[in-house]
Amino acid sequence: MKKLFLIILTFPLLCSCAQPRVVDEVNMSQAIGYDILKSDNVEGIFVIPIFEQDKMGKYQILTGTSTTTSDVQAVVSKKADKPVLIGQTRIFLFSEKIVHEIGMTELTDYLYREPQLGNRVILAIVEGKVKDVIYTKPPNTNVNIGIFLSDLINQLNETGNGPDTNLHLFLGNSLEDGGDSYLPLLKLINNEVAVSGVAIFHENKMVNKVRTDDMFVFKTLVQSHRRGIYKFKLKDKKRSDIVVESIRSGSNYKVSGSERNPSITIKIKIKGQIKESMRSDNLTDRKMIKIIEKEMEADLTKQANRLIKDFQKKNLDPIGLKEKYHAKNKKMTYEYWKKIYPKMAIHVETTVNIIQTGVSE
Amino acid sequence: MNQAGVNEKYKVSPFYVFFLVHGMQTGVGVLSFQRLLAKSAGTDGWISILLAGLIVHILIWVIYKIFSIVPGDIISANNHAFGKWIGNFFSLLFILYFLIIGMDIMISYINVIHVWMFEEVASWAFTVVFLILIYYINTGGFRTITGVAFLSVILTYWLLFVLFYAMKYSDFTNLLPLFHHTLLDILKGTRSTSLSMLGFEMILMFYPFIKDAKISQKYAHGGALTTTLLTIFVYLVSVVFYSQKQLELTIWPTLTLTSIVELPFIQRFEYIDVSWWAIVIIPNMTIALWATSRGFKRLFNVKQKYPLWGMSIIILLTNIFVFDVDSLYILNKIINPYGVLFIALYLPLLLVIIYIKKMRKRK
Repeated sequence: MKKLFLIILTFPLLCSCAQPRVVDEVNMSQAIGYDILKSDNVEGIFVIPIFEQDKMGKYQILTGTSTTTSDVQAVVSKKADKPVLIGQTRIFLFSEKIVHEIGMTELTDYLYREPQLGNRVILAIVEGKVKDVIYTKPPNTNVNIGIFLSDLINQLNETGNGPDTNLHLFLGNSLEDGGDSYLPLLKLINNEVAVSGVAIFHENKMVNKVRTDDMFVFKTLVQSHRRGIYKFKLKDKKRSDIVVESIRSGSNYKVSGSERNPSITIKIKIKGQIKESMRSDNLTDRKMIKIIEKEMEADLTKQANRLIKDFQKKNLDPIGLKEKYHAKNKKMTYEYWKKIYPKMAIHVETTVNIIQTGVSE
Repeated sequence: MNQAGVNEKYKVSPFYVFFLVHGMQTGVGVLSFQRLLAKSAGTDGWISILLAGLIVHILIWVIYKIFSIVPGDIISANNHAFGKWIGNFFSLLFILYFLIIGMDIMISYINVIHVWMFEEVASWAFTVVFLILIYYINTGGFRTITGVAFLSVILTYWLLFVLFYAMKYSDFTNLLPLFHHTLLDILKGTRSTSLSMLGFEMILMFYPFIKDAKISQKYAHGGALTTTLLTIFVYLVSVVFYSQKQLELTIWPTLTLTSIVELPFIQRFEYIDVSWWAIVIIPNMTIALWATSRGFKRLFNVKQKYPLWGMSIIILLTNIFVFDVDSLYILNKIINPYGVLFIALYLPLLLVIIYIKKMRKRK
């Protein structure tokens, strides 16, 4: 009993050893944006929620300038009434320009080193100025702009055409040889923030963009997914639009091992339902469905081929074909891959299955 | 010889050897072994772990063989093989080794807490709390220690769900290509897994505390097998979760992997993981320091609490005056390769000498 008492007595030793971080006594930023100024300094913009009774979505924006991304936090703290902490940050925004001038590896070093940040943090690239995006009012006034943006991207990744991204997935790709990776692009269009495509990275720099129309194909190539939406035109007289929602889609890769003629066959499989058909045909007719399937296959193959040809021409590999090739060919080095990739024969085969056509005829 | 004899009421059933071995092997090593292993063996790292597991099994067999000829603990075996003076010298080496293992585990864990949670809390504060806890458990005797080891294994297995969770963000092509490292690379990898494999050698001290000790061999092997499988599983998940370069960059892959988990009621799960890990660590430290103090008791005929006091002061002073990173650097150097080589070479040698002695006697 005496011993137990002694032990309980020692517990107070641990109290007040660490700095407490009470929610009300810190400024926890929920989104951080980085812009580069003309003087090559980094401008950091922190979105910090203000908690008040009965008022949701109030927030303040603090900015600071310094030469490095991590130092901005200290500069911003100088202007705030409470210390600025980054443990609750959901999204990091980088302007196109800062990525171009500093490079993604240098920008993410701090993020990966910092134990306060989770792996789940979203990174996004902004076309134009980050400042303008952060200073727009979110249409939903219950949340601040940081939460709004991270929800927007998350929502699009889960149920739309956006490929899955977070700090972990991005670094996994970008740290490899070649550094081929991708991140969502944001843009201010008519005073509204919207996803405007996918930014493609190669060797630490942003080199290409996939536009929103191609995002469905891109996502299908990169991962298996549910609930993406694809719109295409039928090749009949009216050129009518058909919209298909994917239920289960993904792609399969077959690598031929021969050293002289390396080739990769990509098999895209789409299971979907018709969401909208801008023509008066009877869709319960299986024949009509078969035609739509065929046309969609042809269209998808065309789009995928165009996308891949474009990547090959620029020697970009955001799809991760290098790893798939390496898995079959042990001796592959990055130099060898760089040489063969632009000339490699890549075939795309698409299978579309339309499972259902909705509740109306 | 008689000193090694233990009163029947202090003994534990052979079944618990499983938990003692498995619990002692799994510790701070599991948090960080992947980085060095990935550097040398990459996708073939699982072969290295398998090899390391095999070596552990052989050594466990050797240990049980030694004790089947000379019942008792390592100290009586040393004395039997080399006589009093040289035997005691080797026993001292073992005691030193156990102390270093205990210290290394504690300082590694404090280092983890420093980096992940409380960078500003001084090491001595954690050390004092741990040491008091260890002292308390140790005064309860070996049966209490066994109980703690048992609880620690039972209470921490739920953390495995993190690994399944992480598979959602994994790329399974990272597992391929197989077999594209040389044998030398794989052997180098085996070396770097040693910290997550060590711990079985505590049998050398607690063997006399097991009821029907001979039966317990299968449980010891079972414990080591479980550790090997667990380590392989953790490694495979890390390989598919991280890309090769990323894994080589991450110091605590198991913890960074945890930070992908986001539950509705807790956003940053790694804080739970780091804290919960204390339950894994406590029996490790306790058993190591128990083995050291028990060794002292056997060698110098002192009460077990005095060496415990002494060690606590040594560990506390180290933590006050040396930065954890610096002391870790030295301790890890001592354990790997010297400690590992000592265990792996000395035990078979001991067996051979004891065996020869036995044969001579028969003649």
